[in-house]
Amino acid sequence: MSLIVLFYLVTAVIVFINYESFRNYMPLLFLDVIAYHLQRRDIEILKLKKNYKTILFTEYIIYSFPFYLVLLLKKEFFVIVAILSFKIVLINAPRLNLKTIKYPFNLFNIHWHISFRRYRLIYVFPFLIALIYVAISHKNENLIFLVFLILSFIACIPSFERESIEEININPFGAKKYLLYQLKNVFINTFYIVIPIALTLCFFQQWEKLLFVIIVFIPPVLNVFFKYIYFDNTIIHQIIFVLFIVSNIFMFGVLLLFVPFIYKKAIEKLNTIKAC
Amino acid sequence: MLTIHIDQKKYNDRTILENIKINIDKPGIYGVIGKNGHGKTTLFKCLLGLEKFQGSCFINGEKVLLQNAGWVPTEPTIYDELIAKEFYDFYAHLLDLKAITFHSIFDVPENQLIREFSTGMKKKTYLNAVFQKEFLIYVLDEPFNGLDLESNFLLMSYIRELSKTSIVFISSHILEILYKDCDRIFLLKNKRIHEFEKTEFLEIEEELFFEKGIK
Repeated sequence: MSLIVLFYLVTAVIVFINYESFRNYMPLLFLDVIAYHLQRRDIEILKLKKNYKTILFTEYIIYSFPFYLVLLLKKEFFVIVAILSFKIVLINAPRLNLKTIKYPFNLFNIHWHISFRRYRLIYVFPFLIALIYVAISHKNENLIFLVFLILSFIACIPSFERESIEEININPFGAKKYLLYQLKNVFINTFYIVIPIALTLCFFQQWEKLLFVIIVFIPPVLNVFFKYIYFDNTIIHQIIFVLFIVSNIFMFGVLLLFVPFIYKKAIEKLNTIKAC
Repeated sequence: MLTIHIDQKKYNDRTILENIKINIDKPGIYGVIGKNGHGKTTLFKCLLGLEKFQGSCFINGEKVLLQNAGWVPTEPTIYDELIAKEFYDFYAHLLDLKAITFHSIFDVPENQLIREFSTGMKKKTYLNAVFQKEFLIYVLDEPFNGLDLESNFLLMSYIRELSKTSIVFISSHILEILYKDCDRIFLLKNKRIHEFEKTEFLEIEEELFFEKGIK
């Protein structure tokens, strides 16, 4: 907890020092409150208190306090009022029930449905489309790459979850075929989530950016391999996966040469699980 | 048809099952009874290869594998964030069913999140999912727990149908159900198995409820 608070404070200091660079992106720092608000399940209990809206409003001010402080010190009063107004609307808005949206995902890995419902990932898509609009209107193509990065991260989330060993053993496939079906699943489902972004890029005639969409598929596919190699330990899985991706970015993808080895290790581990 | 040989099954230093020998040569309903902690679930898990043990289990000369058995645990793992239909489809994918012609045994709201289901409805959903495929052997660990009377009746009728072509193992604490329908009843007590015909209910109850010499 204290680490998260420290992270917020350090981010606020960095933003304050480089304010001119971050100025246009300040509203993004307040977005996690929306995600937090939409996924919380204690609101029904909170409603037992008459002043629950005041409690929520105060909580959200404390939540983003370091960033409000930055805006205050930079005398951005209009932005502060706009954000506070948005939070009032958010607290008072009727809660949308998106729990039973039917997703088109392939069901070989059930965690796509579960992740989209549990973390309300569908909410991110309007934001991503808005980000593309901002990128094009401000001629900042880096924002489009940020959209690809977020999309890729979303596609990785289901592979951070685990199916049970019983489920792996119920399936009649050998390890190789099972892994192949998991890869097929991640490819198909990533394709589904790429479609709205690709259509937006087409709408804005960003044809050359469409070529980079393929990058979105690489991390989720790699994550399937790492999931099975480190099937018993999610923490090590996440650390190794992040290290691998970051190293690849700095080494221009040289580490991708190890993919056949990673593939082999994933099959070995799956064979061990299937022999349980 | 089915042979179960469990020489020994231990958890750490504690022996749970010892010298278990079961031979079944025809399809039917086979009951497994025993007090809590006497190894019913462990026996099923060994049979399905979900636990390591000394011994072997074969059906028609081949090792019994989970993929060839309909396994319903006492408290099945079911995903709250799915709707029932998605869970059936997921199971059909897992079982690699090519053509999904799904006839559910129990009526369950298909478009409602499983999180909103009662315990019984969750169990019905799981049973519907497992019964999508026909298996040579079914292992149902306390399948009647949580089900209402009508569902118990439906389930037992369906089990009778299955038992014409498959071996169905049922564990239950409701002896009347087993007396009525089981071809044989296996009693687990003191790490060993005792085999009874279904007509021998007096002997079963004597073995189950009374220590030898104390009557």
